[in-house]
Amino acid sequence: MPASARLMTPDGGNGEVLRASLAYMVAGLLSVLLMGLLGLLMRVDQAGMLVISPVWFYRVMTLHGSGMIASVLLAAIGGIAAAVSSTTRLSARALWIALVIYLMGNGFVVLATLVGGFAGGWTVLYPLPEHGLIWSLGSALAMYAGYLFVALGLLLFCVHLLIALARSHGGLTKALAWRYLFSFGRDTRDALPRPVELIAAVIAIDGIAAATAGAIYLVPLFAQATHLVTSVDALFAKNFVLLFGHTMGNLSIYVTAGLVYAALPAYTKRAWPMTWPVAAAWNLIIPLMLLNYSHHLYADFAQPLTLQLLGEIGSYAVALPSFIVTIIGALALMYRSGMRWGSASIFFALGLWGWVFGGMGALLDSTIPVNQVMHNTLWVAAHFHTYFVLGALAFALAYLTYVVEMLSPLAARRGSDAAAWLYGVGGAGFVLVFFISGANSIPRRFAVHLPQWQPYARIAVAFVVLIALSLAWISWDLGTRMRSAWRATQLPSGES
Amino acid sequence: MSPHVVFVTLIVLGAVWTACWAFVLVRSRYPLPFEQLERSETTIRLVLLGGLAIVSIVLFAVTIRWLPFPNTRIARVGAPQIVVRAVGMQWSWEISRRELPAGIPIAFAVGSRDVNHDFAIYDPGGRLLAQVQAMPGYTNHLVYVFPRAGEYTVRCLEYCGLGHHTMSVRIIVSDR
Amino acid sequence: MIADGGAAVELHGFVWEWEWELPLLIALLAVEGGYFAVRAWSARRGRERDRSRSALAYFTAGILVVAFAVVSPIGANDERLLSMHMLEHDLLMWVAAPLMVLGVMPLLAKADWMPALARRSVILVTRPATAVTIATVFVWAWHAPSAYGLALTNDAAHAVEHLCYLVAYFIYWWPLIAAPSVIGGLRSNAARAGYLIAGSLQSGLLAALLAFADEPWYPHYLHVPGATAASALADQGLAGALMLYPGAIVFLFAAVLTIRTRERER
Repeated sequence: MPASARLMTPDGGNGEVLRASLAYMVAGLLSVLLMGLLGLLMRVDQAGMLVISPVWFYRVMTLHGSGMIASVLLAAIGGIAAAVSSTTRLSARALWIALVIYLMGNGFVVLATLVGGFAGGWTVLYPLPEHGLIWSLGSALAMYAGYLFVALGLLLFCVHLLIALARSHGGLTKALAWRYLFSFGRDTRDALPRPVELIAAVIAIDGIAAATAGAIYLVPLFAQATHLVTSVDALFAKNFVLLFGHTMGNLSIYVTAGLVYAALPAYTKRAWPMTWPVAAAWNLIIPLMLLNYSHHLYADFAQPLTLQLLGEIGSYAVALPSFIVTIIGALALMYRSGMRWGSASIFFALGLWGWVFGGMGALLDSTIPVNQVMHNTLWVAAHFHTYFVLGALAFALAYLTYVVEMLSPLAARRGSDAAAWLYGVGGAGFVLVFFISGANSIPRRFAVHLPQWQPYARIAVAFVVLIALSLAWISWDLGTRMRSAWRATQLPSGES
Repeated sequence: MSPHVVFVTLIVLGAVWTACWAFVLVRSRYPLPFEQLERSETTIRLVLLGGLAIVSIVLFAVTIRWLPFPNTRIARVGAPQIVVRAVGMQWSWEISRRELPAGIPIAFAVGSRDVNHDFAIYDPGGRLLAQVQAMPGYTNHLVYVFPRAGEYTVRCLEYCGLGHHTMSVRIIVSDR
Repeated sequence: MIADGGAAVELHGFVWEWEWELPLLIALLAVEGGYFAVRAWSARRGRERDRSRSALAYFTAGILVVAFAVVSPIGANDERLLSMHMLEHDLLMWVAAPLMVLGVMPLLAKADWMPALARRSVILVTRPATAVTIATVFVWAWHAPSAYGLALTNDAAHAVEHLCYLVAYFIYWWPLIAAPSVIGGLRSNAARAGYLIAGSLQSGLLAALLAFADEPWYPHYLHVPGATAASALADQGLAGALMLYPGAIVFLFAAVLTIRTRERER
């Protein structure tokens, strides 16, 4: 196997980094399971099957949204740390500290919603947190504190990653392969980074941007809540909360796309080296990922027209590098490859399907006239659930499976392939119901669904149960192999 | 723009994609050295890049004409003859006029007394027709022409707290 | 300033409200003396510690913080305002306790001078799960309305309460501050991270329950002169916030300070 395809360095030097990465991935995925149960509760309530009070529905909804975004991203960044660690020296200390801070942020959010009763939605769209007739200002502040800690943890992770990559390649521009890029592939004097390393640099930059946007957003909110300023402009607030949160959510799919570059070659037995299209596409994603958040503001007519159009252009544009380079590239890698099929490769395949299908739904909704009749319906929920369930999460599960396979001597259980396909079926059905619901103009974020809407949610519940069964099996399979995988990262002498 | 048309578009495109995806998966069982595929891969990439870029540009150009913002709408349907003030608040709508005629441009001046809401017009069959956000500190104008008579429902489509799902109001549209 | 209504504390007068508690100060002096004695004893057994002077400084600082917490206007007002009582406890748990751990740690670097029973008890008590459990149980138990109320009316019980917080967090911080070569020290960063998460979770949960409670937990504060139900509840919310946010910052700093790079472990 080529050096770049190894997970551990020969001297085991990145063992502790791998352990930290495993902690990120396991913590993230366990949290996803818990948040998923909350999601199931939401659909069950909307189906009229087990009705909870609107107060609790909106609290659960708030926790589910923020928790899922944070958890999937956590698993994803853990994966990318593992993926680059064999060729880039990372600091386990920085990773552990960032993890503690990030998880404390999650803790704050759980406390704010479940104990404090905050139900302002994950978007904490100003001025709603201040107008909580069912929650106190204190719980809104706890929510902001949670976001601040998560942003801080993410910032620490991304800054550390970027510095490590720059050090490892002799400068940031070399980590981004700029000389190679701007010479159209002719100048190869610099050692080229592995695709996953370049991707790591890209997402680190955008992660820093997202975390910074979060700080910019939260500081005036804190100031307003403590009456240091009288009010915050609603349009400014919406732009920044989405620049923060939407980018964080969006980041997950790009981080996990990096994992595809890192691990898919092991199954297709074909290398996926750095090429000019890869360098070009991923460098383009740095600005493009930050542009498209404003497709959530089309209905805010007060938004300047330039930003509205930039949102549409940005949304269309960002699809091109991802599709042409990453997705076609992955398909080409698989095509007639004699690929080794297992739950990891199945999850990679499912993720590719979902990324494109969800992307189609997103592109349609990013078209302003279409958005008029789909904004804030379940169509929106459909597109991002597809990106997560059958995109980022599928890729993250695939990568964790890959890591466990590489480290643990124990083989996968026999039902894992079937469980992975079941996940695909469950996921596809689940998101299709959302798309159909959106096509029928069913609004999103309604605690109570009209009788004519409930049958759709009932069908969705059935598919969620399939997802749950699949994930239960996969979790059990991976869980029983986790200890041996963990041990394999330690040096033979027993030192850690 | 009908949501159902959008959905059918998604399904058609999705089916094409799924077929290609399934094809790749199935064919993975018949190995071929990668070098033999590289040229066709590059060709496919360039063709798709060109095609998608053209489609995107055309789509973008077309959509400009159909923007829902007041200026573009007025240019298409004519100046509004009736102005209706709508103010959202937790958790109800205050509308200055609930009986409106079909077939002529109406401007809804939408504002909010407290938090963000969304003024969304649903037709009698439950289909979403048009919407605009109600933002505190701003008045947004939605210009709309009701296609036919009937009982339309305005729902709040921006999460605004405990009573978000209860915020709706009826508009009776009659023929002139 | 501190709470709404009649129980508001005016800063000007507040600063002068010190309560000199002689029995406590004597006890603290005795503890400091005991520290010197143990230090001398371990030195006689041939353990010259390079860091014994800074250790002494840490330990003494810890003692001074305890004295300050109880004697200053913060502690003097602990029977009047829950928020001040909370601040007093914060100082004990998060400032005094870790300082005292830092002071005691060099004495125990190898601990082969310790009697076997003592050493085994230390090992048992500082096992991560045990240590977190002890800290949790001690703090949560004393927050039960009956226990908390008892401490507010009975001076001896109040002293025991404060001792419990000190001991609970002395035990909690020990595994983090101790180097892996010291008995009870956590050996891996993974363990430290998990340990910090567990500690911050239990602390945060209790703080949140207090901060977001709809009703006052401790009847005592309702009967303080000038207090109303509203002011007592606001004061309680502030107390919860004083445990929640400073606590989070303390755990954040603990993470930064105790999670180590590999080189330093050697």
